[in-house]
Amino acid sequence: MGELLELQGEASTDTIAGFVNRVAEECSRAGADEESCYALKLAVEEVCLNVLQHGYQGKGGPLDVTLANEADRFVVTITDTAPPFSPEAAPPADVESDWESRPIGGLGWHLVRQMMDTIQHEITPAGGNKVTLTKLRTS
Amino acid sequence: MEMTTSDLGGVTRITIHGSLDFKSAPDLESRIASIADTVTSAVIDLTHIDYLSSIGVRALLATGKAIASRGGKLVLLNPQDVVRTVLFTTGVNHVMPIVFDSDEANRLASAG
Repeated sequence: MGELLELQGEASTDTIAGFVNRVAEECSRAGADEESCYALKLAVEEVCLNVLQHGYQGKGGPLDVTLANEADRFVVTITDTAPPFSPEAAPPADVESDWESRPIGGLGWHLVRQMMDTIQHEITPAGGNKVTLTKLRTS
Repeated sequence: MEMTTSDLGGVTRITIHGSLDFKSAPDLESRIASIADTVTSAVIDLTHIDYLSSIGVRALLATGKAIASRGGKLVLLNPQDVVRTVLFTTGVNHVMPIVFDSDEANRLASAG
């Protein structure tokens, strides 16, 4: 129980790849089921890439990820110092239209919303963003 | 991520292994684009893909759209468990067939 990971780095694709792998490893080591590990790995990839590409406009900046194992759930936090944003403001993904009218993209937050049990966003005292995601354990 | 291509009864069969994430998806997209100009019907075998994120979905959609724009068809074959969940959650099944039988995949791709 408790904190499993506390990762700090400079946002880049290499850093994010490392964070994603560490989250997946710790999740498996903590005995989580495959579906929960997949969902946590995917959520960390999607949110961190959004921070890098949109929050930091591809230029990098501080990126912290934590993973904790609580009684019935895993809790992930992702913290940056990018300009505040709201996950609720992300436009809904079009997942039903045919080829002609469907934009290819905007699927990241959609997947996170579908695969996590809760998503919270807060503005940090430093003026950045902290996203807290929870995934209930199924085993 | 590893990718191999073959011809199976006139249908291009693309088999990929490994993870289709933000590190590998651009590579897949460019490798498929290099052969997609001549492809009118294709099956992507996902049996050995163990991880798919939104960028991987985007690569599959871009490939399918390119083939559809030339009047062809892309069919996805045999995605496993959580990969299947990602495909259905993102509505990929609304724009390209997802099937679990190799012969059926070929038949659907050939039908155009």
